[in-house]
Amino acid sequence: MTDKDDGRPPEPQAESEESTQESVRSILRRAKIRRPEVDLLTGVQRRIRERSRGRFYADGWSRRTSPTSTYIVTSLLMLVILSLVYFVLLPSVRLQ
Amino acid sequence: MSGFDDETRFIERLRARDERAFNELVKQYERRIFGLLLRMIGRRDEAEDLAQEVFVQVFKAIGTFRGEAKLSTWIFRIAMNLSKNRTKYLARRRTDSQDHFAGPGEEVPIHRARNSNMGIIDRPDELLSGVELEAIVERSIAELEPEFREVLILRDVEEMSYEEIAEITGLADGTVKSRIHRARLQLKQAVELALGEKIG
Repeated sequence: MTDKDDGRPPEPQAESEESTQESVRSILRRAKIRRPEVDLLTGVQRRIRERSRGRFYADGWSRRTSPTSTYIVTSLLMLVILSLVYFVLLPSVRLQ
Repeated sequence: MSGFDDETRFIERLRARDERAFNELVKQYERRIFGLLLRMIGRRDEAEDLAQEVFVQVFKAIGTFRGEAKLSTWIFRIAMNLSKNRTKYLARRRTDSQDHFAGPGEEVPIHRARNSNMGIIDRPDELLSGVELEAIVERSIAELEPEFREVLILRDVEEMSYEEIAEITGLADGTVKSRIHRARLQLKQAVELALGEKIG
């Protein structure tokens, strides 16, 4: 296979592949080309959580449990709170 | 336990949608994938967005991974395909991807590379070290044509084999080799031009 495989005109081969490779690798070493720092995990987890509708990477009780049980628990809690409020306020209403 | 067995077991955990295994995968590859995309696209925000997308695609498609290639090769192929699509999309939006290039670590504008814009340097030995040389080389890589840039990064930065690069890019082995050679020649010339002297 030759340079013509790219469909481009060949360039002058003044330097051998080995010497070019050595020069470039040397300059890359001296330039200390590094892998950039980055933290992708949180963003990846958020995307997967959103696209799977909470099936993966659930982050709280309301997401860990199924939507049905979330509704039931919320309804029961509201019922308990309303009952407490009713029984606390009822005596004072009767007194008036 | 061989590395192959380890990888097979790891892939099984990924297929089972083991979140801990997937976290490990992201931590293991995030810098490599982000580095590749940053150099291919030239914009940190776009590269970060796309790198996250790569891992989402990996999570979605891990069930289709047949293990014919190395896991890393498969992930890099996804990254490279998404990179090409995003580059076309950005080109359509006429976004100048070069103006916002932020290299790894500290961002160093090319004009801060002392005298490099004039092609004259007083102390080449001094210049050939530190962030200035890094900025020159990063800029020179960014200015390569995308088809040369991708193979150069995979070979000389990621140190992948010709076979792996061929699998990732979908090119024939010979084309990979000739492109790498051309890419190196172009990079060498660009760096020499910036430094104002022959290297190596």
